[in-house]
Amino acid sequence: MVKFTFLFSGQGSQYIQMGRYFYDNFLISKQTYDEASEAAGFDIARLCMEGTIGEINQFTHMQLAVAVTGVAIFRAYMETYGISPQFMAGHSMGEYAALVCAGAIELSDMVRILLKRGELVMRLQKGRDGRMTIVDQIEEDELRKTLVECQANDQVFISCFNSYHQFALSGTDEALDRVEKCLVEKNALISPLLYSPPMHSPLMSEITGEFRQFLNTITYYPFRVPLLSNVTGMPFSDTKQLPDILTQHLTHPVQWVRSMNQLERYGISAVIEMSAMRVVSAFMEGDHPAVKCYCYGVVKDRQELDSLFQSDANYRKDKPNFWGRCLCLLASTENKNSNSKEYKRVTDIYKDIKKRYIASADSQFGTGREQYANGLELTLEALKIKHLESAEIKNIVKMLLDETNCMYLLKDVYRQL
Amino acid sequence: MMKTEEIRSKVQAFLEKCSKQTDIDPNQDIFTMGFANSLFAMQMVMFIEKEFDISIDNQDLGSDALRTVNGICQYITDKTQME
Repeated sequence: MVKFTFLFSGQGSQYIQMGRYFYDNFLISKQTYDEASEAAGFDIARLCMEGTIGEINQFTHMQLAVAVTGVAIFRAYMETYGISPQFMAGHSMGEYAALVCAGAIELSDMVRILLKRGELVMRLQKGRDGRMTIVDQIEEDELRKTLVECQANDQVFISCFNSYHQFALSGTDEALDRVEKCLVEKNALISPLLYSPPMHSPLMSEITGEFRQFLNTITYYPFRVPLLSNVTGMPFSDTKQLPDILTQHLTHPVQWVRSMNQLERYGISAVIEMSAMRVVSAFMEGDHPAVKCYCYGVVKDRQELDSLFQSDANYRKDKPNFWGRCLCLLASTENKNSNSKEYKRVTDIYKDIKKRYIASADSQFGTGREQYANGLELTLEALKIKHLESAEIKNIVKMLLDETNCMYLLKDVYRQL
Repeated sequence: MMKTEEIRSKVQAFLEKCSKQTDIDPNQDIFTMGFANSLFAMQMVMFIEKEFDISIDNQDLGSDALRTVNGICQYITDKTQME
């Protein structure tokens, strides 16, 4: 079986109609847009599907459109195949989508963080200039040399290492203009992004304090899948470090090349890009031709994945089964209750759920809301008898609902925790 | 309303900024000039919408109207008169 990594694109994957197929065909995707819209206070699905190019490219909107669509596409994939990846990585604002899909933050919190991030960045940009540019067809050494030659290396910064030959620069207008002219003379290809704030560079330093404070108000959860962080390019799954990492994300370059090299070192043979169009997997294809790349937002790639997953029965076995996951939770959590009479009930619940698990394996048995809700109640009862702390129980249940795509179906039970 | 000359000089300045080229022929197809990719098309829409306070219909994108300096200036003039 192929070992996958899931990638999430940032800027560049947005277009009008993005996410339409998933919104129309998957209830879970529609519910994802709905939850995000409620948290944002405006209709994100409308922005993605019926907005104007001007609207969707406005910085705050773009962040939300890109990140929410990434989550909506990922959940449609989970509904269809459900096979978990070994790693996740998201490029720039795509890292936020990856964080939600890896289980570390809730979707509505992601929306709140991105709104705050957008507000701070736009406020900063109001009183000054600064923008980005994409540079293609150049080597890193030559690019660094150019910054020095233009005496611009304290005003223009490499802000994304996208591939061996594509970089983003962030800088002040005048200095960036100078650098761009030099680059054109060196036959590099430039694509100025006149309305993109100079992200991932020291030009964002001023807002880090306020952003960090905001991040401290957010609840973080354990990672279900490790993430390759933009800031370090290395695997990361320490929830406690998230406020620091996300703050540094504003001022540090996106180490995408390092992340992709790391994946190849770990022997990853395939990636699925959970984006509305192919962006970051194209970088991967260029730099690592041995890695097979799919984009789940692209029809042809979805068809290819269909045949792949149907070709091997093991894939079907790997799809998370609600009852199977409940059994796992019951078996893998520590018992802190020494009263064996009380514990007897845990054993009974385990047996009960096991019966349902076996029944569910060869029929559609037990897939309705009522049955799942009842199964979750039983699992909760058992976890409480085992004297797990309430925060621990909440983390476990969140993980179960995320893995099995039941976060909306069983929302009421989860909210009571 | 903005004068034709003013529109033209703004459009020229925008294209020069993106292409780092001067003296762009007003009838030349800018999408054959090498610098103009999908990122550029997006930038152009934002430039026109922001600078002239008009909104571009999604179906006008990629149409012949928005391929030359002359075409872009005409499009902006027509739109600003309509709105």
